[in-house]
Amino acid sequence: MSLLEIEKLTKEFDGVTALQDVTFEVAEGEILGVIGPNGAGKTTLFNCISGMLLPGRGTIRFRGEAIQGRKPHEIAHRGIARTFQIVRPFPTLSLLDNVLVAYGHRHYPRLHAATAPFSTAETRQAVQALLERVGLSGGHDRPAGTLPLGLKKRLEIARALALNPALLLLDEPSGGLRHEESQQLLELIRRLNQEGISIILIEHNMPIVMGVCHRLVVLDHGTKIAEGDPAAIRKNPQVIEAYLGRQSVN
Amino acid sequence: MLSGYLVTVLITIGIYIILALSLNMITGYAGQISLGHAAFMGIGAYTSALLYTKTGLGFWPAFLLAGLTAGLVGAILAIPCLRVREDFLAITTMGINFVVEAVFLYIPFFGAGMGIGGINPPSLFGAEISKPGFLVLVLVVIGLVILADRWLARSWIGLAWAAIREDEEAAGAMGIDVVRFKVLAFTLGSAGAGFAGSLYAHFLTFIMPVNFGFAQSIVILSMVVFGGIGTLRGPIVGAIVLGALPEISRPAMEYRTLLYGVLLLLLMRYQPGGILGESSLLPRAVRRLYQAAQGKMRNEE
Amino acid sequence: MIWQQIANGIATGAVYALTTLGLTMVYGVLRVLHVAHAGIYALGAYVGLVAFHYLGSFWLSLLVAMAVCGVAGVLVERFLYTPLLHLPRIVPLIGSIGLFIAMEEGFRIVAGPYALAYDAEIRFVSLAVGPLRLTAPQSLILTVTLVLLGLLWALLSHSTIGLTMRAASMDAETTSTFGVNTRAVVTLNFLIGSALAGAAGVLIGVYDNQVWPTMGSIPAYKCLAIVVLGGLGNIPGSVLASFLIGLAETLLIGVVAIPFPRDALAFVAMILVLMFRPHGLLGKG
Repeated sequence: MSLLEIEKLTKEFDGVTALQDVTFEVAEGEILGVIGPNGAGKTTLFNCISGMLLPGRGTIRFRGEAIQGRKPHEIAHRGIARTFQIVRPFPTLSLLDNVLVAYGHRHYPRLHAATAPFSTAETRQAVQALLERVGLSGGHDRPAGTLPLGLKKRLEIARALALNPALLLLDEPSGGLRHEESQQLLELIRRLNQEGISIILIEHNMPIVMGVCHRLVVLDHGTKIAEGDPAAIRKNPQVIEAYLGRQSVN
Repeated sequence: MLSGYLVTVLITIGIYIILALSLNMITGYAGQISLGHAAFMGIGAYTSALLYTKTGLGFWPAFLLAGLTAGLVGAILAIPCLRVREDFLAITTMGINFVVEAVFLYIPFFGAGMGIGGINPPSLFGAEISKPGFLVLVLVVIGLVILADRWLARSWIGLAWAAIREDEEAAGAMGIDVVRFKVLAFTLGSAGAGFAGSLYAHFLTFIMPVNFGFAQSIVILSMVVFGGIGTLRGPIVGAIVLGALPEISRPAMEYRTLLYGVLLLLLMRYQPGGILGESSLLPRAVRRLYQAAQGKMRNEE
Repeated sequence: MIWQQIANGIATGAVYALTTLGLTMVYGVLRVLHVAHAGIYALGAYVGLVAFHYLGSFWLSLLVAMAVCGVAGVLVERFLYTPLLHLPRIVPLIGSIGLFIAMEEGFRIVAGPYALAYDAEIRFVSLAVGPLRLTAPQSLILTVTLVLLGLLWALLSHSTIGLTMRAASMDAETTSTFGVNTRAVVTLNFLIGSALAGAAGVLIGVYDNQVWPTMGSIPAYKCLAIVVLGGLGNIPGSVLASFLIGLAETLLIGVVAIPFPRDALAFVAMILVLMFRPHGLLGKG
């Protein structure tokens, strides 16, 4: 049984088909890349998995359990965490508090537990460790809105990690980053995977995709047009055509 | 000793502080605009008044039940409120205010337009408590509300509310059951308003539907916003200043309401964070003075 | 009897339609709940009254009122709403409420707290369709409303300006990337919407032969309910909801005689509809 099974996932908006019968699996421990031209439906896919959208048809199974249509917080509790394509940290909350929000996921369901103070030495320590893990050391009390983009992206990942996920959905984490930042991101993704987290990665940055993904799924206009290892996908004529030279696959 | 008039004003301000703090929980902490807070004040007031006058229940149990009832109704009404979009929420709460007021006004059981009278002040050890005594009662309740407020603000509940306020969708992705926490905010805030309503009823000894209409909701909301929404000190200061304003501006009685409207308008236009909000003029000026004094002291050493 | 009530309902609905149109147009472009709109409605009645005393003509007073209100609306937009665009929605809302309170008080202080008579003699045809007879004033209201609505519809669906207005109300951000001057569109929405409210104020003032400071109080909040009921930002929805509520109020209270305040009816209807259609009658996600 795979970690995540997507079967015939379909989603329509007002007559536009964003996803059509998309089917693939994610094995435990792998890094799966989801690529495709803009508008292919990649973020819609993430939104369906993470519970922000209700699919029209199809099933999503996580560890054998059907999760399509569940609310986002329920999905977070089951061990799937995500980042957003356009980063959305809580702007006036500090970095610490931002990650604490996610760290508290174990306390929210029970009212009694939720009445406990959230900022204790223990919780702050745990969250600081998470921030260090993504390379954010220092300045933990700054409002998250004041961070530069690269650091905001790391904060997003730290927040997702605080959910203790088995599966991490990263939506274009390298968007807007400079070259060295992208390299550091690559390293981070590899490290997280080595620590046991399975990852689905939406990316336009081909060097990263080719460098870190074990397998790729290619979407175009809502349908899956190819699946396989990066080397094969690179040469796939359909994939190249879909990109129409917009994105260099070299 | 404090004059009777002054005590009355203080008690009124005190009740408004409770109302402002409880609304702040819904609108300031959890970020849900409520334009119908006075409706829950009314539910508390009428519950307390009816229990007292019709069942012979004493003040203390009536007071408790007033808060609980208002909280319960708040929880029930939160559900339709949460089905609608953010912009609609404001109007839906406004609608609830109008409908609740209409219920009080038209249904004979609630005394209709005449309201309910004969709501005596509470007794302690057999004797009716005096006005200064009532003031102490109000202060005690304020103290309890502030304690509850601080406790919630420091808890995971408070953090969840802050996350919902900043970005509801992201909060959901972090494992927060957004609906549940919003309902919680409405429940607790409405209960607070209910307690204030009960105090109000037993202080004035008679209540009428018009006391709990939309205008009253706006008064409470403007207190919260005036002082600085989302802070603890903000609603308290707002309640004190705007609660005392009618008395202070008594000489200019003709223009009182006009000034009030202009004040709200200018405040929102130029100092939306309230006069004591995080980034507004007054705290910044005070901080600068403080820093200047510090620097001066250091220079003199 | 019932036909008389229906006639009343149509007249009431027409006035609501003129008033709520402005609200919905403003909401459509700026996402702001323009409570002060009702202040402009009352301003229309007062300005119309003054103009009538000086000019002696009802139609001229109507035009003057519409012009003044249009400008007033734009001033409100420039001073209060546009500068506060990027703040939480509660800020312009409270500012608007403050402005509305100030306007009502202004009317009271300047013109006195008592109702003034707006006794323009209406020489107009009395429309009739089968058993439905509208009195001359009612016919006037309906005709003016239909004419104004027709003009607006023509503008929106057959002109380039109208197209940009509709686009901006659906998605202001994207529209501006097409080079459309969204600032101008916003101003136009306020101009037209406020002028319509001014017309509504004049019509009601003449119909009731009364102009008083707090005449905007109830419309201020009732029209918000109607606008939500129809679907915030949805122009046909507002018109539909206005007539529905106008009819419901007069029929339910006048004919069925339910002991319920007619002004709360709009809110009850709104809440009920929102339960089953969270975006209002004609609103879309």
